[in-house]
Amino acid sequence: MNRNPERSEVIRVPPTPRLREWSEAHGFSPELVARWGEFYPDLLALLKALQSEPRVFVRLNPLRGDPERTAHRLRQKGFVLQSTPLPGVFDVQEQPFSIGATEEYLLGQYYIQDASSVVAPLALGARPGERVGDLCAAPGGKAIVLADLMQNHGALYCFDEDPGRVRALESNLARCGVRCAAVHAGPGEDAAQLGLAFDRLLIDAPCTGEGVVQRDPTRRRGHLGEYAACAARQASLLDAAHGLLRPGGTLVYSTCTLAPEENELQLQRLLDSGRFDLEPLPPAVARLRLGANALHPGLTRVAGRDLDPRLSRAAHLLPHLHGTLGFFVARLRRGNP
Amino acid sequence: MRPACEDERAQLERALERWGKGLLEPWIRPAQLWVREAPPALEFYALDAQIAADLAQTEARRAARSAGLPLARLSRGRLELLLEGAFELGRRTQASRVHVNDKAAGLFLYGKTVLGESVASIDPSARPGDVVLVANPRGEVLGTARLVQPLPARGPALEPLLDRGWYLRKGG
Repeated sequence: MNRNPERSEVIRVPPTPRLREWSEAHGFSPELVARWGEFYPDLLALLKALQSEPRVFVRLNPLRGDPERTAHRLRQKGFVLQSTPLPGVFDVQEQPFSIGATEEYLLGQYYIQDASSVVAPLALGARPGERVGDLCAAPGGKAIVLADLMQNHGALYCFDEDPGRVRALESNLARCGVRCAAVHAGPGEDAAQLGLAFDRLLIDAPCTGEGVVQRDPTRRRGHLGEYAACAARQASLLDAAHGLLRPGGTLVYSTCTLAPEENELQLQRLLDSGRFDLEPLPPAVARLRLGANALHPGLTRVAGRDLDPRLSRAAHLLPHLHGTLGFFVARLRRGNP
Repeated sequence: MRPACEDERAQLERALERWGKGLLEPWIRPAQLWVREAPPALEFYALDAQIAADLAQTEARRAARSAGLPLARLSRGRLELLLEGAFELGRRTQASRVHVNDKAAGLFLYGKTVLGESVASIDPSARPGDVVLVANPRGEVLGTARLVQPLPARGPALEPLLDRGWYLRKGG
């Protein structure tokens, strides 16, 4: 069995005539839909979820206000907040006006981010006093969670190569009261020039974004050719990670795509190198039940190929199972050396 | 970026005196004071001790675009409080502070002038022309404004200089 497919290999699943007809009627690429049906359970429910309005979540920010007090203030203004299993994360079920236009938002007392995006920093588990890198940090939602986990004490390095998004990153970090971060404008690989050994790294990699179709309907027409470009970018970041981490350091790799080429197959390549081990997610993440469902394990068989069984330790959040945007997360440990 | 030198700290301390003596240390605590040169101004930041130590010792300092919490800008002896500097200062002093009602707070966050009748209370030492901290009824500083005329007054009282609505309008 080929456990190490070429980096640029794209898995093609021929769509059935019925699937093709349905896809064309609903503005989806038939090739994408056929792939999703191959990889994930209950295709119909997934497609229905991808066509629905995404839920709105907020994460209350303890760096800028007591979360209970913030929740109380929002409820007093007429917002209906439903707690979730994720600490400090609420499902905003009713908004008398935009949740992004409140005084509390401007004071940094909460951040608007999908529940799925909080999972990656929780999986990384940063602690006070550590040196942590967020290699694709903009616009900063995950970095703010990391700073909170670090209790605003430590060294958090945030990189992003998009100048416009770097400004947003700086702005969000300041608004939310983060004192322990330094911002670098440039690709995450630039961290190698700093001469630092990180305790932990987060790579929330640029990707084809299939999991965020609800927010960006243009992604319904994704082309298979995009996978190769994204996979190459992701591989470059992952290759840099080994040199950036101290021996035994922790890496969390995450994406918001459903494509195995960008998720499991990327990690397969890393596991084959022998330089990383794929760890179980921390219990607080592994035992999560969102939408009354446990996280969906990483795929260990893709298009007839068996992959490393350790990939089942990674996890997917799927819109139809978990009520969030689509997300993939895996936790790895750098070997010695 | 680099640690602020003694002279720069002294300049900032002097500029803060209109809000109270000896405010610099409480203002930045528990962080350290760093600067970024943006001629003709100097920008001041509060950095956690650990990231400050890291940056001081490594190449990371040269490469960092920014670090820590942006507090203020000092140019030719004139202090301009930035949003987070005003917020943190508001947690340490009641000086030069104006409390406005919730409706006015909402308008202020859109960069609108605050009318005299919307002012709930004002530090008695504030004079027309002064830069004041504008706070909501809960005491949270929403920005800075210039006091236009003595209070109580009818008509415009606070001319916005910087408000936290900036984060929506321009901050990204």
